[in-house]
Amino acid sequence: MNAYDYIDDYMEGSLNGDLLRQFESILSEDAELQLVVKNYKGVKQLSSGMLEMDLLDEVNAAGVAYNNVGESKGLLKKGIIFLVLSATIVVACIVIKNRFIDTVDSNSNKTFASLYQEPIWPVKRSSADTILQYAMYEFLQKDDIEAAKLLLQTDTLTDNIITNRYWISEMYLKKRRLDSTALYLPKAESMPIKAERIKVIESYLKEFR
Amino acid sequence: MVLKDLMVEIKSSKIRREKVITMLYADKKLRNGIKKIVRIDQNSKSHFDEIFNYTLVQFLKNVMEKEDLVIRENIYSYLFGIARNLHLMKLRKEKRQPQELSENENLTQADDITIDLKIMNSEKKELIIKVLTLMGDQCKNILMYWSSDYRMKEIAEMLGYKNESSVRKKKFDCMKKLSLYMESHPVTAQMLQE
Repeated sequence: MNAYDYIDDYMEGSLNGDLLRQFESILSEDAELQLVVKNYKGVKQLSSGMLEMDLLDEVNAAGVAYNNVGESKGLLKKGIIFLVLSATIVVACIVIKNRFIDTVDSNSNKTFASLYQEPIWPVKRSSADTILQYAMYEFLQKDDIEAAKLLLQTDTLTDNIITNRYWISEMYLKKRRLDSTALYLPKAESMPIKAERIKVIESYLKEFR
Repeated sequence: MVLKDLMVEIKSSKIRREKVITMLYADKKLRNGIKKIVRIDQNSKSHFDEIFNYTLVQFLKNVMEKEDLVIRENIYSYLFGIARNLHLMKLRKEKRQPQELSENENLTQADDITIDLKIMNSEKKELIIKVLTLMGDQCKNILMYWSSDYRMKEIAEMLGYKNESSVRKKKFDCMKKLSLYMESHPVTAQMLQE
């Protein structure tokens, strides 16, 4: 018989008859079998402990995986909350801008547009103010305010300086560049012929600048 | 999953057992129930983790080792019973006052659930870890299933041996190896009997 096949039965006391006699006969002569039988309970306890350790490893591994998922879920949750908050803030800013700031702007634009009246531009006059005509051409036809301004500034005739400044001011006003308008606008008393208009421009500046 | 099926899964193979463990680990009812038991005295996460993990180990071990295991109520009651007993055992080990313990409502020991984890004793745990490093994986697997009363045929199938006779022979060699270790470390043998 292979004695090691019957160790468990022997230790459990379930071996009897011929098998028991044969086993005991081998046991009395086999030192290795004696060693195993002697330490049987301890070996079983240790083996059970090894099972516990193995199960604990499996449980710990599940715990690590569970916590990792929890952490990444937490991070994802935080990320989503952050994104939602950011998006909400951006949307709120856009809404405020559209509803409030743009309304103010468009209201003021509307008001300025409704109040603003263009002057009678000196497009065709006499042969004496050619530079002014050229300048007006650059401004009205080509929409080139800088070229028009340059032309008017090159006209250094003393009589024309105030007139030219006035027209530069008008050009800036049409473009709604109010600071530049104010910079070039002559005083009403220095240009009596346009005194009324200059007062109107001054009222625009006071209102919208 | 029905309790009976769950127990079959735990016994059947390591892979299936791991799936059950993953499922139990994420079970909110189980986690919250054990939190309630544990938080009565301590709030620390490490204490909860220890009790939770040992609860699962004790449950798995009982399923694997006790062929006649009967869980009368539902699985939660059984697991909570293990957790409660583990928690009480830990409190006693920390020498908490009995009055302090008795003040805790519902903290009565579940009489029919025995805690017999060797790894809860740090000396025994150390010894087991030491022995594990001496044994190969094959020996470890055969002996731990043998200690859980698996049949040789089942072990052969689970571990991929040709037949049960090969497992028997291997088992004997492994037992011899461990016996020799215990002979040369008599204190070990004594400690395990305690």
